[in-house]
Amino acid sequence: MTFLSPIFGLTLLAIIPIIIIHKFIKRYKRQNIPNNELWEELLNHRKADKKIDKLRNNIPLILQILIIIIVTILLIEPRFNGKNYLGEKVAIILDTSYSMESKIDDAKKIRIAKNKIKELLKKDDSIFTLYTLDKGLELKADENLNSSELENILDDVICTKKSNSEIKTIQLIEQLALDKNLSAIYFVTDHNYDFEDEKINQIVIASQKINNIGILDIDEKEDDLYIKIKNYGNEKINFELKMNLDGSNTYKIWDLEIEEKESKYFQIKLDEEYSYLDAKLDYNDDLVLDNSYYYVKNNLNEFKVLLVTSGNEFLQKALKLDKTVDLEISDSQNIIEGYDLYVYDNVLTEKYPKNGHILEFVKKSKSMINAPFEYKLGNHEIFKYIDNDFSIYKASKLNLPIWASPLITANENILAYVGEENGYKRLVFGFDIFDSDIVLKKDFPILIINSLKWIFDENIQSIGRYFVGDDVNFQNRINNEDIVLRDNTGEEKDVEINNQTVVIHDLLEPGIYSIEQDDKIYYFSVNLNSNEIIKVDNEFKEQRTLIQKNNVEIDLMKKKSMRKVILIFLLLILIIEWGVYRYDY
Amino acid sequence: MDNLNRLNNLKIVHNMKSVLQNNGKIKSNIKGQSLDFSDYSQYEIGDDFRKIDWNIYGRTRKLYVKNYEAERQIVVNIFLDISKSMEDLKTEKFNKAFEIAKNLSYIALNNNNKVVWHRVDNSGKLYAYNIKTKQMLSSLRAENLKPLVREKYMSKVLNAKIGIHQTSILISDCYSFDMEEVIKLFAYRKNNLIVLQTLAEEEKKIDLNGDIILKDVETDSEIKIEITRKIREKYQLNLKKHQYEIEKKAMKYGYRFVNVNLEQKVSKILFKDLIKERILR
Repeated sequence: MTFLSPIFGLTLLAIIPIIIIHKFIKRYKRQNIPNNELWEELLNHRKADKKIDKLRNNIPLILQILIIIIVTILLIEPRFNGKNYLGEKVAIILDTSYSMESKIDDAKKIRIAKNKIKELLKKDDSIFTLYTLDKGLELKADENLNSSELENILDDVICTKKSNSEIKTIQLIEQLALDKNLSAIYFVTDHNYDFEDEKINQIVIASQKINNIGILDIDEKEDDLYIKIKNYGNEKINFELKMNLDGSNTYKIWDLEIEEKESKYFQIKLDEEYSYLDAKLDYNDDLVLDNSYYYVKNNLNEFKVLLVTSGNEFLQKALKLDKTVDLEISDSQNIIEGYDLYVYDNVLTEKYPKNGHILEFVKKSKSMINAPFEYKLGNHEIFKYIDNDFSIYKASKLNLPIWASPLITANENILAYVGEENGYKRLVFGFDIFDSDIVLKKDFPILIINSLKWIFDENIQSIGRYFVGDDVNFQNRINNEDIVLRDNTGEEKDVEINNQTVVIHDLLEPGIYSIEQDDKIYYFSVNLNSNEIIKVDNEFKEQRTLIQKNNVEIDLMKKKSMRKVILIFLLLILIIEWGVYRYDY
Repeated sequence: MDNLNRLNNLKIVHNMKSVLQNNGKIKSNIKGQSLDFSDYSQYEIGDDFRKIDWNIYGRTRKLYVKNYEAERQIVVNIFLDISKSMEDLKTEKFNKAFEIAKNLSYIALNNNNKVVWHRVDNSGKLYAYNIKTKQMLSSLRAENLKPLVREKYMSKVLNAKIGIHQTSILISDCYSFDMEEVIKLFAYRKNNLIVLQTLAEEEKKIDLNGDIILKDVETDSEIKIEITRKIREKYQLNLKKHQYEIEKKAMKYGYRFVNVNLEQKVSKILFKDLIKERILR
């Protein structure tokens, strides 16, 4: 049998003062009586059952000693050797998010955490399961393993670069705590979480001395680069910021300084053109991982759009809502080619350009349909989020080309159609927008944006920034087979192509990734999750009050136990004892 | 009727066949020299020839002697326990016992009885103190009998010089275990014994609690005891048993044992309790 907290064995010393109180400091009152012969006779008679009387007289003492023994047993938490005796199932969760890579006095937190778990395995004879937690929970060792096998598995556990938000972490662990078979959960982490379930015990490994700076974010505004850097420590730090553009071998270097506990944007002007960069803080601190950050320049392609109109403000504004649209306006019927999209607003044209998509609003034709009539919207993505409550007063009856399909119909008359001719998309509405009240409704800009989305499609260009552990999804309409993904080291990686969606699972390493398609290369960055960075930040703020002399670890044992019940039981014993005593005297 | 008048009308009930040489108001069935004729007996040598009834001699030619009933004076012995156990507690134990003894003595004197108080002298010995007059009786004070002695009074009573056929009134708390010997002594002396047990109320109903050292005021011996409700109950039972034992022994010889309720006034004890118990009439 072992004891979880043998130190509390000292509680037994409390028996000594109780015995002293009962025996040695027993205060006798003196009483003169006329004659004590009858009392003596009484005592002589009582000698026969003296032993029982002694026991009876000592009931308060015995009960109090019993109470102390029970309290002691409760505190020292004895455990029987042999795994299957108690049958208590305990889950140990080791935080393997990247912040556990940081050091405390030259020892990584993950190492300290592992040692702590090993201590736990030695002390506690429950049945253990081991989980790791980064972005999600992963079962590493189930209950069938003995402690040495479990320790071997534990030794092999490494930190990942994934992480999760505080809320998600709490959700995951509290969900696990719902398992009624689990008697306790020990979560070994470097952050103090606020769990509601008392089954969850935290072993927090944190340091009072903090020596860490990290890059939180990089953003670009008007050709200037803004790098957000945080100093978590208590001292001002001078450091070098190194930047490498487009994976070249040359670094741009800036000497910077940051005050203690400061979070600051550093504005940097880069004169050179680049597609991506990686920034590094050259400083020897406790957590190296957050000293690097990867950034991909905003590489959204712009689409050249020509609006042919005699002055339609509504259409202009709606088209400009899409930031990828580079809009030009013309009132001439003589079209210059070279635009990605031509928008005709109530303009009659005989010759349409052949090298671009076309969106057309037709006002006049030979046969018209006038209100009142009921129209029906076809099932098409451009009507996503559009309510069917706008009115059309007057519309042309369109002839449906063989490559097109109807979009809006009214009694077999086609009022709008979509299709693709020679690789270019055509979207034709058979009415002037001013012959409908849609222009006055919120549906109009949505319709235009939806139309643009359908025309240009969502493709690779829209991807940009991801965090470690994220899945990447993007549409690929051009050629499913010709996609090459390269990771941060330049190695080719597998991609999953599902219908027209390309999925890249589980990006495990931060860096610049690339997708090659049709001789074009698109980049995206993968960084450590800023949530985790913020988490560490918060943690240091919150932990400051918690961390005392010991800069290695803090145990926050919130084990749910029978103590309350047993204390109530003891209280009852005392009440009974008091009652018996009162009855006797 | 005031108390004195009532007292004057009271008599001690002498349940005995005692006789004394001196005349007293109480008639005895032992022959004596009173004027009341009792019976005849045959003349024997040594008889007073003046008592010969010559008339019968004339008729029968035999000598008969006239016998007369004697009027005898009863001796009333008062044994008042003066040991320390009789000390006044909350209840005036000794003072009341003394008052009872004094009143009984008065009644006895009033009825021409001879009253003898058995007192303890300075050396601790018991001596007989004859109270011949009411004046002598009234000069007796409780204080004169103090300080109360540490020795057991009953062991002294065992050495008392008591005549036969007397009435003895023993007023004591009767804690002593020598009571049987005492009763036997009175029986041997053919006395009429009246035992009046005077226990204070606090002795009957123990009000002690917890860890207590009980000190015997006579012997100074101590007992450490944890007094609980049950112990109290047992003690009270023990006391009753002890009283019963004394009463039983007293009854064996036709003696009366009365547990006097000291909570009451002495007048009530005399006029009610002792009359009820047929000690007085």
